[in-house]
Amino acid sequence: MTRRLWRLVWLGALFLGGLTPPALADDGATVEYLYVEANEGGSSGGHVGLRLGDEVFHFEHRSPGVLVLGRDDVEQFRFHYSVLENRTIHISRIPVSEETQELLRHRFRHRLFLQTRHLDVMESLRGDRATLEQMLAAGLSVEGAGYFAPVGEAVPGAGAEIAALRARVEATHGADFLDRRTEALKGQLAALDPSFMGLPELPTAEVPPAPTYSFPQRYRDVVTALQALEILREARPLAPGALVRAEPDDLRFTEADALAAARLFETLEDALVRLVASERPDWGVALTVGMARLAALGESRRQERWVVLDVFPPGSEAPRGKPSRGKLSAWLVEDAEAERARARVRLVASADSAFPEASFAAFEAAANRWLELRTAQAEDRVPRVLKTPMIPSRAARIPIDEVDARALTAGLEAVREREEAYAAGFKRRWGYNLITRNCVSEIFSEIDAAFEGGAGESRVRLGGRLEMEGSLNFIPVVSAASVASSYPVTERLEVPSYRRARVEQMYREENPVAVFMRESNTLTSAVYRRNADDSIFVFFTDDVVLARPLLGAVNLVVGLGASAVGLVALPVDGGATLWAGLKGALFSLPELFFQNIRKGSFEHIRRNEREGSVARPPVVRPPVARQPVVSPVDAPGGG
Amino acid sequence: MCDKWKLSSLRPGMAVLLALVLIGSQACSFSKSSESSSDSSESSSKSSSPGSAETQYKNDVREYTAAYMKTGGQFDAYRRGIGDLAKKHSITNWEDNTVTYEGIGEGLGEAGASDVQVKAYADGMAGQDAAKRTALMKGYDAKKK
Repeated sequence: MTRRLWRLVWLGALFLGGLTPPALADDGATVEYLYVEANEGGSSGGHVGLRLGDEVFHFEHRSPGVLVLGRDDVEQFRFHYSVLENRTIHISRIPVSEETQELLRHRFRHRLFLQTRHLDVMESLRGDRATLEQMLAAGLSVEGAGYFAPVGEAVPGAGAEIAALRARVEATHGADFLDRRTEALKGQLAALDPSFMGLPELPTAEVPPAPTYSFPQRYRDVVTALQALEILREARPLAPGALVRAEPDDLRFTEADALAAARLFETLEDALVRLVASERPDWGVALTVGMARLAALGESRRQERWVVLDVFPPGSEAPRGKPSRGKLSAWLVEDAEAERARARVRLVASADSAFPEASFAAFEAAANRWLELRTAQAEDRVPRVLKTPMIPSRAARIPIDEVDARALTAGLEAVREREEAYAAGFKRRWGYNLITRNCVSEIFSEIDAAFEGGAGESRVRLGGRLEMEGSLNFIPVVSAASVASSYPVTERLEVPSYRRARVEQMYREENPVAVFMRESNTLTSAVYRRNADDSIFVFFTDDVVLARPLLGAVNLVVGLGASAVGLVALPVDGGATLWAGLKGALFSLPELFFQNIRKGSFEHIRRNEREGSVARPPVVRPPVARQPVVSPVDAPGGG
Repeated sequence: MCDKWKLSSLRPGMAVLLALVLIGSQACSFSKSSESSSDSSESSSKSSSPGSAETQYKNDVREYTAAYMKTGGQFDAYRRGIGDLAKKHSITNWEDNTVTYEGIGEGLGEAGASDVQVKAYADGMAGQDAAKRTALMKGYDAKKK
């Protein structure tokens, strides 16, 4: 009753003011509700997102049981869900005023910022804990220091770039600059009080956390800066293994490359001369990484080919990718090479200005990935993977002076408590619940919160509203149907899953019977290649309805059979086959009831094959005689 | 016309689907949060063009600065926070990047900073570097209310 009354008052106010309800304004702005069909794996219930302009906002369920807002540009979203995850996206387009679209965008961006800041604080608390634990063990792991040879292992004549940098620093800032700066830093270190941790306050719902600079962060920053100065003072050369291993002919300089490398060297050296005198708190790691890159550029110029830092963590610390052999492995290498070539062109083109660090880092990462994939292919091993974004950060353990152990232990306890309390607070506010707070409910909750008038204003501005309470709207597919019937949807489109788009194209170009026979199963399909993340199955059932129970029964038998084999192979493969078989059997069950969840997914799609899944009007399938259930999955948005 | 889906309108097919969803407990996309891939092109496709990556960095600095104007806190903590943001965009030497100052200026403009506050930030962040101060003012002018 109260809601109705409020809505009447709001509408009344609009019309009394001679205004047109904003939802009726025809200025071309839209809101798109995106429903992504279910697939096995991370989203067996489907997924939803909201497109506002070029951005798609969508809530993801993350460990440990929290719901986190993500933002992708439209193309990223399409590529991830429609291509790699092979899921059809259904779009409901709702016209709104530009003002309404902007209010929604503002709200979602604010939520994104707020959550990101809180996640950053949790990350910094984890860092604080690690720092204190290392301090109690009398040694800090210092980022970037691992690229340089330890004291006493310097090769005579090596480290020429760093020696030249030191000379320029002394010429610019004074011959005793390094001594003065070192003494000042030691003074700062001695003045730090471990009994005052300076930890962040616990989170509050709608207010971003104020920045804090804790004792462990301060201590780490000063030690890192001292280490950077020591590397500079001693003109240490790069450590063995600091640069990526490559063949002599890899990445040979062209004339443009040589000029660019010279310019990059010059601008980076200039930047480091300024940086060494910086007053910013965290300059040490920037100087260390910059010096390592300077040495790599020096090596590049000597060898007349691009030589980059090895940005992978050493040894077994680097996470591993998935095993890939044959064609897929070759394609990965070819595409990585193409990406490296593009990054190289961008770097050379941007070398004329100040040191283009982002472009340099992109090239460094692309070269590392390409060489890693190529080496893994040659050695027939699983490749290491790079986390993105990437900063070269090979660490070295640096011994530190003794710090009051009692204060450190107390500080460590305080950090642990704060870490737990912060995570609990975050979860209280944004915890995931399958029914009451999921990717659907949170979108509609944020839509209401975008407007001062809450739900009432939301209904007026968007021309409708979705109730979550007491309904099944928390299920993504149901919400898509409800949006179509509750809002003034003017257009409904679908972006077909990658496999469907490719197979439809084949139907147009080849003998349909041959295409059906070949593409209906995982064994002969020319589109699908087995992805280690997928369950074991034989027949695709997302594009057949009548035969689905029969094909599902075969899939079920295959899944159970694979599970039996997996049981035997358990000691060898660690349960991978058993798990894939069990999943295969589980996701075959709905097929027996004319439902489809599993569609297969892709580990990699070549760049030139990524297009084709473009938005189009939904395919209307002819009614199937005696079909017992009209599946919302097959008839998206129906209702 | 079906206004909305109620429990009472549950159909057998839906019941099966719902049961499986509940069994799977994975409605909505589950993310492992870290971006890692052996597939270089997948990762790089996320970064889009250098221009858009730069804009994203600037936007992050703008939002962070505007929020800091409201929450307050130690200035060196604010500066260190800029460093953390920059790292997310593969930048370590953020002081030498004019985009940083544009972002700061935009954040000040968005938060409705006074002339005195803008000058304090220009002095504290850009020092006497003309290019940095210009970038900061450019950002401020673009967003000031």
